[in-house]
Amino acid sequence: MSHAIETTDLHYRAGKSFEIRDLGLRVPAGAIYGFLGPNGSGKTTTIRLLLGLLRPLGGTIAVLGHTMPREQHTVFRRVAYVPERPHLYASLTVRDAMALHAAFHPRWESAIAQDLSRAFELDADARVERLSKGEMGKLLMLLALAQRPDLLMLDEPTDGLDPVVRRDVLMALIDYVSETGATVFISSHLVHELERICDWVGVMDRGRLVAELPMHSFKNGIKRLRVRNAPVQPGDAPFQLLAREVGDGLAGTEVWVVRGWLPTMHQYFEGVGATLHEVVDLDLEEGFVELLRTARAARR
Amino acid sequence: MCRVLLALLLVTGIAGPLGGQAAESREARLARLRARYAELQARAERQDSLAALRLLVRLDTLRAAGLTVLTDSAQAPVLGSALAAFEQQARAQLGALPLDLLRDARVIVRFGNAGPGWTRLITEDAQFLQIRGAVRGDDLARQLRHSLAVVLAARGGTALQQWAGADLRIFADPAILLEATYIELTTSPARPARACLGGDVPACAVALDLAPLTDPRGWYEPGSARAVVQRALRLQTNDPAVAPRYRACVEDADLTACQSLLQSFPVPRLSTRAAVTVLQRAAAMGGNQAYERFFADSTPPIRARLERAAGVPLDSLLGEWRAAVMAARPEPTRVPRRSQWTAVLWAAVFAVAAAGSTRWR
Amino acid sequence: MFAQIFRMQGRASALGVTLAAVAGFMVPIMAVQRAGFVNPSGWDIAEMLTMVESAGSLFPLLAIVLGLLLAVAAWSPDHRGQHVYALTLPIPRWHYVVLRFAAGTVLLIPVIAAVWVGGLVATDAATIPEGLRVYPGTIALRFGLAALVAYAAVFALAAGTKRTAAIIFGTLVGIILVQALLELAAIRVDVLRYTLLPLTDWPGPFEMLFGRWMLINV
Repeated sequence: MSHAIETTDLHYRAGKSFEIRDLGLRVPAGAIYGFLGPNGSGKTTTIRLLLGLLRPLGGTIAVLGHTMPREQHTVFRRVAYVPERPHLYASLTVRDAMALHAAFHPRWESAIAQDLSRAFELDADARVERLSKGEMGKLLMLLALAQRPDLLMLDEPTDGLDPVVRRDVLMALIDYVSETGATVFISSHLVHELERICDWVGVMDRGRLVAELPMHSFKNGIKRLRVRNAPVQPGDAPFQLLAREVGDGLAGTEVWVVRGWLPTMHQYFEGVGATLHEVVDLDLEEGFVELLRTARAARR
Repeated sequence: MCRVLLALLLVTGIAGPLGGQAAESREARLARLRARYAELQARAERQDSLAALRLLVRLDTLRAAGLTVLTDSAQAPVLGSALAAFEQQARAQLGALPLDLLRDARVIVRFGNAGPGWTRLITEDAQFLQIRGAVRGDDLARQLRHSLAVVLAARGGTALQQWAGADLRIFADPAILLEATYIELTTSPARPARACLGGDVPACAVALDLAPLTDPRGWYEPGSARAVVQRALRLQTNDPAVAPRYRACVEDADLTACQSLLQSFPVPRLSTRAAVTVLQRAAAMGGNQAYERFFADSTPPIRARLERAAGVPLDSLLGEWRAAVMAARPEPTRVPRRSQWTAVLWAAVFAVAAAGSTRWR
Repeated sequence: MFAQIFRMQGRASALGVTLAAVAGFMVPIMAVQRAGFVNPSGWDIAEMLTMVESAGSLFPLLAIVLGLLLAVAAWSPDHRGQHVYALTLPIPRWHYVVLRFAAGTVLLIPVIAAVWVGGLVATDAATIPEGLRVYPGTIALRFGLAALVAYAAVFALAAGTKRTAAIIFGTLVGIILVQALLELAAIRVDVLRYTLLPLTDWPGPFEMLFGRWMLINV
């Protein structure tokens, strides 16, 4: 499988306290890759490193087969970027912003830009600095999509947008991806949103990549188990025990959070003299929280 | 009887004119005697001072371009080459030197700090050069030329000093002086100067104070008179002696008021610098002995001395002089080509510096 | 690309350029009128030329202001956005910088033209006394070059990081402080003569800004 984005041992430091270390991202070509993480985990910093806006201290970055940041301007012919904070020139009108973008991007499609402008109901004569948050979000997505990129780098593109706008933006994105097969790298802390559209997920926490796997594995693989008379040591368990704690309710009951669970694995508990009372599916958000908890506990 | 008559005739023949001359020559003789006494006294004083100084310092006496140069013996070798250059330049520029005029003219050259013995040698008639630090031959030669010029001015008569200045810059580059004279002629508000600029040669003589102003209209046009008064007296409008006439002149255009104020102003003749250019032109026209002729006798008026030096009438001299001044008109103000290219180059350098600026923010 | 950048920069600096052009047009006219070359009642030419020279000192001032204005207009949108938009364009940074620089340079032209036309109008309406000449073309050329250098210098400074600007300003302030300290200590070393003054003499970069700006002269 070829990768749209690939990093090896990426290292970056900002100030004394924050550091990205040993980052090895692999974003498959054609995937919609959800980049999850709590606030301050390094998502935006990672994206800026990938796009050559920050200079790494070590490691390698390849985007669409090109080395970054050296081949940055070549990469940007095929990459569209929607930043967390709007980066357009404030004094321009919507029309001017589109014209400026079109002048620099050889693949710009005016007809598509016009269609999106109508669909998003943007006023062409409105100045960028006067746009509402929702309108700005739509404009940024319009510019990114009309550019016809092979890779979209979206940093919290729907943050602060109302549900209607969020839906419009995401729908436009999905339409584009299904039409062109472009790769999408989208970061967000809105886990439930990514759950609907992403087929790959990477989880960042405190500058480290905690997990990177297909979405279905992430969702399906994490379960909460209610176990009675659980063994002190899990021993040779066929699953990965992420966390265990004393359960509420019946005495001697523990709650285990496990990864990689399959239905046939209940036999393990019989083998160790424990009783499996309940298997609960976790949604992406719960799984994400458990994953973070486990990762932090392991670091301590 | 005939002898008595002859003797009587002789006596009256001689006594008459002698008696008539006696009154005249007594004054003149008295003046000459007084001047001679002062000169001898000064010489005696100098001799005394020199004698006193010779007790303290070994003095060497050198001669160059008609001047007597005194310096302490230890420094005499240093002066040697500078004096040779000075003499060569002086003769090249002045031609034959008025040696009679320069008799006893002294230049005292002291290296380092002057002691009390030296300072007593400084008189009105002697030039004193104090050389501190390293001696530069060309600098010393320049100072000696200046000294020579000052001596010539001092001995060339009061009228010469008033006309061409006490420093008599005859060694200055004529091209530079002519250019400055052109600017002066062009910017002068005085009527004769403007007429001279327009080609009226007799007006040039008036502008140069070589001829009296006979134009009944006076030195200024009415408008120029107002402008000159306004510029010169605008800070004195509170002075009660000036204010009424100032207002009448400037606000009411009363020419009489303007002229009464202008009477206290110096005559708006061209400067001593312009006068020197006339003398330089006369010397150029008069050949090698022009300066010698000019300085031979300081009693005639300046215009006569100039004519004698140049060997031509004043009008011809001034015609030549005016032509030289007009030819010395400064080059039109331009932006030099090298400055144009340099500016464009620097703009390019800054643009390249900007293009190379870091992208890491 | 250039057209879009030029439009953007032109709109941002339209007001400033217009005001500068008006000023550039008026300065020669004002200089000639104040000096008294229009409807002269009398010639005090030395004084008149002094007034022309004094008014002429407005030209380098206008050149500096214009250069500053255009350079700031070129870079302030990028500074506000932390240069993110420019750095995510599919052209090398040096190409982008050149586009910005060229756009600002073109915007100098209307003001230079205004200075030239103003000089022509002013001297045409004036009564020039014998012996003097008029120099509207020379003034306009000199103004143009002075404004170009001023613009380029501030442009380069604004293109750098805050750290770079701080180093440059710090160096200038440091030189002046050293000179002041030396003078306080009665040490006769003219630091300014060897450091800053060469910038204002040929072949220094700011030679055009100094000297006499004479629209009318001998």
